[in-house]
Amino acid sequence: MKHRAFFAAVATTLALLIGGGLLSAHLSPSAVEAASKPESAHHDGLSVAVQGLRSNDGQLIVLVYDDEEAWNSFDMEGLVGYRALAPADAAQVAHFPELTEGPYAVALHHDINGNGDFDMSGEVPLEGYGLSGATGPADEPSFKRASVAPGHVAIQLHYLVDAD
Amino acid sequence: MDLLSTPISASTILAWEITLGDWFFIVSIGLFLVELLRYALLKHFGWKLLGDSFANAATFTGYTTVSYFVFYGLYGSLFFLLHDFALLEIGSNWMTIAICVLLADLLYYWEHRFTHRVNLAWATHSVHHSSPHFNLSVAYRFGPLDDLWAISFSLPLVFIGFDPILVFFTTAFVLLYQTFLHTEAIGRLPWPIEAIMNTPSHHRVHHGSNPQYLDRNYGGMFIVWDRLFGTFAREEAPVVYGLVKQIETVNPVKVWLQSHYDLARDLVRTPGLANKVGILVHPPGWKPRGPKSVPAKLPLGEKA
Repeated sequence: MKHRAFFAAVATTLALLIGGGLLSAHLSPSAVEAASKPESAHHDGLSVAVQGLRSNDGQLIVLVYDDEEAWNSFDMEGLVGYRALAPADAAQVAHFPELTEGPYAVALHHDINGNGDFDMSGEVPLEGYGLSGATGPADEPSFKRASVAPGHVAIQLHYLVDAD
Repeated sequence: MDLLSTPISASTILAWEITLGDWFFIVSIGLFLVELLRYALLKHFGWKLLGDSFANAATFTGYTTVSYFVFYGLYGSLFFLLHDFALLEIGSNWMTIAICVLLADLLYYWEHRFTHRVNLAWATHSVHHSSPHFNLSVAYRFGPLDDLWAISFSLPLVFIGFDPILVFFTTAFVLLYQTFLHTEAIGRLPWPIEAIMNTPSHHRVHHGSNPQYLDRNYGGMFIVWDRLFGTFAREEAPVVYGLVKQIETVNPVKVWLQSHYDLARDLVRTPGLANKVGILVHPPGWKPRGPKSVPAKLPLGEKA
């Protein structure tokens, strides 16, 4: 009898852990965002606004993915959208009218020296970067969490090393 | 966007944890002085109480040192490693944080029950229980390895998919909540609070060595787990604080390390590997059966 009560308590605990986990995953930021976006707003495609640009040097590269594997490795072959903008363009909005399906994950790269490479020093990025869905400079969201529906999306650039 | 579903970053949560821990500590010191004043007025104040409080502060210093240099680094890496294999992907917002606190409290219940019922873990947790007094300074009385168990039992949350920093925060939050339960100055609270939350009254019972209070009220923030799982007891008879066999010392070194020394001594003195393992995994007070109580030939063995 005592053992039965103990095992019932353990079973209840496991059920609450699994249930709580599933509910949390359902209530997570990306899931909630995707569910609350009205479908009709998507016909104009995807427009990406860049925030926090530190200088007008080089070029600003916008990469759009719709495939998880390509996103995970930042594979240039798997892109569905690509823009190289002059940072001086006041609007700093990249518009992709053809991207109306989604979900998409977006990466920004401020190629300060204009060499076309994302320059790193070991593990430390030397140039500005930003990812959709990221909560901070150290956050590398998975495709699911980085996912955005077509429409308007703003992405923050991060610079770990001074941009001058 | 809805306030409840706004994402909250890990760095924000980390800042909460540090601010909260520091403020609880400062407020506790202030309220502890009020408690001392109360004891003085009730004429319960004495050198033993002061010595005990000093020992409590000493154990906290030792415990924090061990945690900083061993457990935080070790578990920090383990949490982030395990998070890569997480079952679900859970971002942090007010709703998921609330669920994580609830689940952390549920796991705390089991961690706490484990540290009371398994001798190996009781060696460190018994430090928290060996004071014959009950005041806010006892809340900071910790054994050297307390964080080992506290953090181990939080690992499932990381594996489920909660952010490691959030799990770290909720684990600490459940512990911090209990700080202000360690007081005799607050009687019974209104019944809806006593029904759901862990309170000073419930926690006094937990620290009692009275037979009817032993191994009761393991809950951290919520007492509902004890009510649900049959380990609840209501405060009725006056509580006798401390261990069944009191330690009778306020020497900080003995308070902090004697229980591990005793456990090691029992292990060395007990013959047989099975008996040694038995001492580690059974509840406190367990002893191997003497040779007389075990028949040379078990009657059941012949039938089988």
